[in-house]
Amino acid sequence: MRLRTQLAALLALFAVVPLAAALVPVGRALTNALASEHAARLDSAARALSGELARLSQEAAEGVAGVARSPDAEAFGRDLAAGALSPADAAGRGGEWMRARGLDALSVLTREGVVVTSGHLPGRAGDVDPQLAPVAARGAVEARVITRSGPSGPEPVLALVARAAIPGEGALTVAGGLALDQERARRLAELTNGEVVIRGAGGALLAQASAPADEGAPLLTRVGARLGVGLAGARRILPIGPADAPVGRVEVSVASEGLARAAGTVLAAFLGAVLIGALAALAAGRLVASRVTRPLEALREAAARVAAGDLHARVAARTGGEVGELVRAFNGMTQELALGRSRLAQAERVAAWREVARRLAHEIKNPLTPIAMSVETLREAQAAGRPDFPEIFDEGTRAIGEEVRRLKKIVDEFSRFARLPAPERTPVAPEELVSAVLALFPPPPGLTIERSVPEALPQVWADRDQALQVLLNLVRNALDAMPEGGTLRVAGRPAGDGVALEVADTGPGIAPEDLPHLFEPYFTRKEGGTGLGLAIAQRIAEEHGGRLEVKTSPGQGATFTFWLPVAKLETRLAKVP
Amino acid sequence: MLALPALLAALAAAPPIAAPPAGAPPPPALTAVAADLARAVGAPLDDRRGLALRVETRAPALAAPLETALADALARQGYAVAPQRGAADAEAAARAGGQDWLLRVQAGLVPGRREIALVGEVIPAWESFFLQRRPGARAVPPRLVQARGAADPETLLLGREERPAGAPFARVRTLTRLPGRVLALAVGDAGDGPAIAAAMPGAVLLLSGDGAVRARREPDRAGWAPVRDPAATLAIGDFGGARLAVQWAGAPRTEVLARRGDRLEVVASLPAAPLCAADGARVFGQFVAGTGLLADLLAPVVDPAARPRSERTLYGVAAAARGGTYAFAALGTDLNLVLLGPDLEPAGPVLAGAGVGFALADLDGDGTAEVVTSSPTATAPDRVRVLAPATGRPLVFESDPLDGLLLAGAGGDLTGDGADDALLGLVGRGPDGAPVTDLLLVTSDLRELP
Amino acid sequence: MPTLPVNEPEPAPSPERSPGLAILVLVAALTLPLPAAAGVRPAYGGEVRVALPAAPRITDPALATDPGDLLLVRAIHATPLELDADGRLSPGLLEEVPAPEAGGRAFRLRLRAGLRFSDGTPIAASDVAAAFVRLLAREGPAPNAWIALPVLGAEAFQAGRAATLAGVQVLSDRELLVTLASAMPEWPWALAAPAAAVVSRGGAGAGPFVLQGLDGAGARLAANGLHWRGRPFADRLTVKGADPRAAARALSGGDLELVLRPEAVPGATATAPSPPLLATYAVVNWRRLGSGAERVRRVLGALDRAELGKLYARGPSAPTSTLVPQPVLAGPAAAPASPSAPGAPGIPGQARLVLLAAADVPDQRALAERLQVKLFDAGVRAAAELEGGGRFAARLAAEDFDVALVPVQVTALAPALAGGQVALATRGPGAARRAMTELAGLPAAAAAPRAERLTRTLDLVPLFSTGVRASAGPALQGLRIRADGAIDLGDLWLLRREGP
Repeated sequence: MRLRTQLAALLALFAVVPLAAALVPVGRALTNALASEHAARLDSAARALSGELARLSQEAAEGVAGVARSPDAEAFGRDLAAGALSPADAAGRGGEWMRARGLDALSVLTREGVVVTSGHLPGRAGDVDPQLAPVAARGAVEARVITRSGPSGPEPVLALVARAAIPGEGALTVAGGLALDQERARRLAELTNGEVVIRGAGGALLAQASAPADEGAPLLTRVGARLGVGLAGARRILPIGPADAPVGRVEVSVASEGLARAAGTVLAAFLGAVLIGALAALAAGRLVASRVTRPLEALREAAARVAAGDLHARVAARTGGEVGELVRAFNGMTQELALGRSRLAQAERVAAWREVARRLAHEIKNPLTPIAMSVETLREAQAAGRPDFPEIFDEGTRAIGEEVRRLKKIVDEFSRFARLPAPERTPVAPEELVSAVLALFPPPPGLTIERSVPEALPQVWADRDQALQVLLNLVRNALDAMPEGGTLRVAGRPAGDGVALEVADTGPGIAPEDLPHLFEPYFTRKEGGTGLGLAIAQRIAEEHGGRLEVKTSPGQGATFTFWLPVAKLETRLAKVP
Repeated sequence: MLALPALLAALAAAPPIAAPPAGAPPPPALTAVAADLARAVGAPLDDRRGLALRVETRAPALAAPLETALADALARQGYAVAPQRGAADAEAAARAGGQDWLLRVQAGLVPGRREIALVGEVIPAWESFFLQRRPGARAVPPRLVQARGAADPETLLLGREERPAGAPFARVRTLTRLPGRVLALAVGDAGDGPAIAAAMPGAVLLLSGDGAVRARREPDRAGWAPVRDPAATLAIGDFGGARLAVQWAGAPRTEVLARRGDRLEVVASLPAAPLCAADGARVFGQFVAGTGLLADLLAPVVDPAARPRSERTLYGVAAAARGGTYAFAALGTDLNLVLLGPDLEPAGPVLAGAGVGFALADLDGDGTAEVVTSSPTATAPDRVRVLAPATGRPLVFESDPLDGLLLAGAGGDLTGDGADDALLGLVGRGPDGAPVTDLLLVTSDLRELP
Repeated sequence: MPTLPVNEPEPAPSPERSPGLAILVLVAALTLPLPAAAGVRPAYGGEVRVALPAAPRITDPALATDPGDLLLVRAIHATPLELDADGRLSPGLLEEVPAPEAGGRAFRLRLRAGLRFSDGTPIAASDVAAAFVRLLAREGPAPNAWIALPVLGAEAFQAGRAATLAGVQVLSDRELLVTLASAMPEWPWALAAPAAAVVSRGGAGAGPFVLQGLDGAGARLAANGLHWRGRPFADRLTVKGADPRAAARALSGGDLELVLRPEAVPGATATAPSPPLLATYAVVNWRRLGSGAERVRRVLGALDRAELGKLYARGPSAPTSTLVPQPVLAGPAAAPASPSAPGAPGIPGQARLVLLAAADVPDQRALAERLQVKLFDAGVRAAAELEGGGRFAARLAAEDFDVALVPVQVTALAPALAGGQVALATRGPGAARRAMTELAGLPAAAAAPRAERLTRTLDLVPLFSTGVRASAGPALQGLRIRADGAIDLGDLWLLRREGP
């Protein structure tokens, strides 16, 4: 473990321990406060439930009375009495009225209690309804267990029912109301935001529902529930029906999750504070430690850079004491190293120029000999008044001219090498470059040209002429390497941020001993070569921010790869004044 | 043959002549029948030449021309004719006038025939030598003479009686009952007087003007295309030698039929359906393939290349027996009746809500046909209605409710009074439940009126 | 109607007469004054739109059993025989009603000349023969196989023992001879049932209409100009499903011409009831219920069927007491089964069972709800499961029910055939053969007691039979309900009354 880490950890520990110690008494106080809050909410839920049951009773009474008083019902009674309504047609009406009024149960009964139509139990039509017939037709609401049609057959349900007479001579009454069923339990649970259980007279479970849990933070709720022990389990019971003989009861219990979540939130805040404290301590420790260890770190990094070859690495830390001494000694050492390296490079450069000069001299000396010999021969021939002088003159001057041209070429090439203009770069399509180059070389017999340059290659950022010169040079070299024929392959492919153009031949390849000198000026193995082609090519590549590389093995041919950067939009925009 | 007493009874209530004779010469038919009667009276007996002529007709217009014709004819027999008009007691007046004879002539049109009949009573007017103490006693028994002959249109016109005030416009009575359902009717002259033709799903009948079946034909239905609603068109008219042409929906061609005894025989066939015929005019059309409805195609000649004028389909086409402003009428399946002129172009208002049992008939003889049709209500019972589109009072007659549906009709003179009658087919159920068709005669012949 | 000896096939009652006076009486009651324009002949053209309680789905005569499907089948297909206005058999595709030969065992069927299917192919006697073979096809017999079951060799053919149907011989292009296994003079009545319709090899029918499209919304049909009675009056026919309110609204709004529903549509111009021939039977599955079946059976047997029909069938109804529905038997209205105390005390607690009913057939839900309550009162809790057409048939065949309510639209008005149809639908081909053999040749009076015995043997609980009411709009003409409840849709036409 580093020194800095050790220091930071120590500081954090001092910050966390007192905060953690405060957590236990805070949690206990919170639990007590929440328990009394829960009891208050339970009471309020019971009040809401009781109010809602009263409202449902009223709604049931109003619904039934509404049906009984409606013109529809009156017409129904009249039509039925007059025989204008067939019993089977009449049997369907109850369901319509029931649904229209939002009731859960509705039957039309005769004076004798025989069902004419029933919405909740259609199959009862024609019988006396034992459950609804005893309900007094005064409009008062009674709680009763009635049978209604369910998905798996008739089922009992606790209902708030009322009965009202239809005016007219038919002596019909409407009986019906609202069921305290699963759906109702769900709505009551939503209303009270708790759990509602509806039970029959014997305590049999009729319906049960709880309010949907609020979204989110189940972890908080769980944590809070640990704290809120003793909140769950409390409930209020409301009897349904006459006080002396209730036909059922409704139980409500308030969900403690909300409270538990509040507790959890407090706890989470506490834990958050602990965490933030620890982090702050860590940061402070780090700051302090860094003042101590920064020069040492700088020294370590500089040493690493020097080891990697960067002799200009310096440590800039300003510090005193032993560490300051160490820094200064290190900086002095690296300065000495850099100076030595620069002197060595200069010596190498001088040697290189010497080599260049030697080769240039050699190249220039070579043509001079034939020139001198030709001039000598001409002079002799003229002096001797030889009759074949015209022929000799012609031959001699042609040789001189040829050698002069060769000299001029050497000089031109050299001067071009020396004064290569700065590239003027524009976006160029690699495919177009390749096409332009290959157009200059009709394939010689026995030679196959393979070309795979996708048109979709991105444009490169290059001086078109110079790039062409590079490719021209590479292709010419490749063709020269294959006088007996072979395959010239020109390929392009995206490579990193640029495009790599490969020119490969199937010639004899490049000897390993020649490889280090390949891109040096005036190095050539070709008859008549200036030795500047590849040197210029490499320089052009470098001035474009690109590379020129070669891969070869004897007898397997050589592959030159010319890499050029892609023309990026911003680069192009930068060119626009 | 109408019996003489019946004829007398029919003529008995004839009122005396009211108007003086007109100067115009009487119509030829009247002259001819007057000559017949004069011949029946014979030459003057015992040189008694003085003759008082008393003419009595129901139709007032007939009296004067008839008187003229009779006077001429009797004069040619050698009588000195003195027309007598207005006297309450004609015989007493003749005696007082010193005449030898009183000829009382009663004249009228024969119901159901286009004939005029004259009945004369030759009464002696001289004083009886033997019965001098009984004034008014006749010297010799009176003698009855009669004559009848075909009535020309002019005579028929003169013979028409005036409608008494309060009389109904027309009367509907059942002419006869035919078993089965009548699909189409035609009325016309089949060569020997007024005739009725009726097409049924499997037969065509030719009936006399009074409804007696004269001849029939049951076609061979092989090769007929089935049609869900049987239908037929037929017409009585001039079809090149034969008088009756009929086509059933689904049948390949129209049959032109001639009567041979009690059978109707095919004498020719036509490639177009005979829709109606009257007064020298014939209208041809065609059934919409596979249906009992007619295409909107009315052609005066058989033209196999004719194409329907529109997508409209027709239930039927009727012709007025004597042409006129409304010579034809076409009933579309939209129940709109279009009245057409002699050129088959629209000539009058479009009548909405006509039933398929309809006919054009000039019932009142005013020269413009009325439309006789069924009730325009969509529910039974049906009624006969007479519409006179030419007048400002379209509905001129409506019958009592009828038990059945009026599904065919045709117009023409069946009572022989010179005015058209309409014949409607009332399809109903007989006592055994089988379909029957009552042929209803709709007429304004005063002799038919109650 | 002559009284006939019960056991002698000779003299056979003439096929036209066998359903007896009842049908005539019924027909008299049915020819109610429906709208008919005075003095107006039918007009062609237009579209007749018919609404049923549910959209029809099946057009195959061999498979259609629902009243709605049967209506569609009758629109597309033609049967060898028809029923005339008096409820007697009349020629259809056949030239004449075949007379029984060989003691009521053989019938010579002769086709009219020049008949064609709607696709133009000629109708040959072999097509009629193919119709019988189709009904008995070995990959599961069609629900309407009762028509062909009496044919000689049907059993062997069905079981795969015979390659051809021995009793059907094609004599010529237009004539075939059908030989029955035993005498059954009333068999020609089966030829007027929609299931006897002749179908071309390519599936085309010869009915008044051609099917143009069939989907969940209903069927669209166009006139068939090649129908043997001539092209129908309407150019197009649409048959769709609609609930009562939608149907009433559409009828009064002029968007429908005819509604066929159990109840009369308020506001319709005219309504007429069809004979109650949709008979419902309760089938108790002994195999699943075991000893509890007896209790269920007792509850069902104790139902007051007259009251059941009155209170729970919205259409015209009649209580049914045997496997031959009352209108076919026409005997005196059978007394309801003796009421016995429901709720056998032997089984404590509430038993639960599955009550299977057809969802698409009217009144079946109400009936199921009634049975649910009656069973509940007897301590049996039944879950009503309503299934649509194919699912219902599949569950019925797989006996996946405890009690099933099976509705059967009886299409042949002879007791033996009607009994066979009901027995096939409820208890399978064996029961159908037995019912037809026992009831064959019997006049209605003699058939009634025999049918009652059969009902007990086959363990069916007959409930009631119902009909529908045809409610027509003001423009619709030509509506006639036949004695077998069928309507010739080709005869319907529209009265178009337009201003000049």
